[in-house]
Amino acid sequence: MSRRSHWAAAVALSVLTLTAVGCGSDVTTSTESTTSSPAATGTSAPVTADVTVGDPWARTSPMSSELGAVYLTLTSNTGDTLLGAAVPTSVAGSTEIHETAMADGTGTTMMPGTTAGDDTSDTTEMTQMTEPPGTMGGDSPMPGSGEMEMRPISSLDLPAGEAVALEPGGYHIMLIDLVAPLVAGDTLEVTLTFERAGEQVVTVTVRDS
Amino acid sequence: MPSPDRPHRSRRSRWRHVGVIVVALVVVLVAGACGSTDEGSTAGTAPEANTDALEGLRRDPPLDVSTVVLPEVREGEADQPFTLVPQPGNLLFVYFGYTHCPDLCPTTLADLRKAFRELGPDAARIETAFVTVDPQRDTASVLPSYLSSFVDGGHAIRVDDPAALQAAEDAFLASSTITPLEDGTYSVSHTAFSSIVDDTGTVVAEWPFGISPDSMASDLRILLDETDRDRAGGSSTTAPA
Repeated sequence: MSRRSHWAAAVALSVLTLTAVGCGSDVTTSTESTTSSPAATGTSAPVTADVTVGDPWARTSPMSSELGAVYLTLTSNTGDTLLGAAVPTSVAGSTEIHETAMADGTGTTMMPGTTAGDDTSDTTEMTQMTEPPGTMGGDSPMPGSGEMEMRPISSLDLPAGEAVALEPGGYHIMLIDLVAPLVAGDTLEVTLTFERAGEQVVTVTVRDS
Repeated sequence: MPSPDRPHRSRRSRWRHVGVIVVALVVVLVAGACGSTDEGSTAGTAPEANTDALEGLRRDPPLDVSTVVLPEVREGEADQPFTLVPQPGNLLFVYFGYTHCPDLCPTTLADLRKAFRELGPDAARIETAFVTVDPQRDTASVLPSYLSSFVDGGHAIRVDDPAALQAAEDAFLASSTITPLEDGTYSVSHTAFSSIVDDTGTVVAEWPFGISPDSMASDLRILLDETDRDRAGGSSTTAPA
């Protein structure tokens, strides 16, 4: 039943996004950036929406896996929304933005640090378990050890000036139906679509971790 | 040995003792402070001081998984029953996951691989078992090669019978759920921690998802030392339950 509410939430979210998109920029892969909006030429010096991308990387894909994950950090100067990500069909069949989260329906990501950007320790510094490690009794499950699942999200909010990390255990861009394995040292181009900043092509380096 | 009737000499030997103690202390301190960077030397110098440094979780009483037996799969070969207990003197890393998992599972396995590199030769004493919670897609042609992308000689574990999988999960206090979706596919959720099993079939540590490779390596070193001590000191010290 919590499942159903997930889906309801997801549907609601996507409806919202669609609505937002409807009145905003053109999502489909138009190359003209639509940020030169009609309102922008108004009064005070307009600030161009811009998103800074930090440390874009993808993990080497295991053999026999058709999936890959891209991680990076996004910082918007004005506040923005990540609407989608795309890679050439020579790399993967499709792409989704995913959230890894507790499966119990609480909707919170396991990792509180996803929106806190100042921690630059790259991969695995997350998941402050609710209790410090130590001994614990018999058969109670480990703190924070509930089931986790990935779910697609239709958009990701980028509050102004805040570094939003897509990192292991939190958000990632999933590459589906990889054409070839991702090999360390390779690079691939990912096109990110933002509601305000438009499209931005990011070069992603493949590495082990 | 120092004779009481020769004070001068006895005094000197006392200082020698102090010297030994100081040296031992320094060794312990150094071992404690840089356990992870130090390449596997200082085994056995600090019997008790080490235990507190374990990053993973110890359960009291510990879980006994010595009775869990599941099929190990290899491509083109018949399944072999595998008892989730490592060879004597070794440790076994156990993770319940699935290959269509692009985030949690490869993160954990890639971090384990890093920890193995830090461990150096001792890594050969750590066995790895990856138990799939998605047997439908993780067949014998998929699972072993997936695991071998990360570690050599890992045990790819796959059981078709959901009840058998669940019984194994229960023993580790792990769990997983397959949820059919409207488009005909299904989603998988699963616990994302890892368990370390010693050669008596006891879970000696559990790692939350996200533990760093450094912590993995230092925990494994501590646990290997404990295994060595248990073996050296007779098996009576840490009987499971």
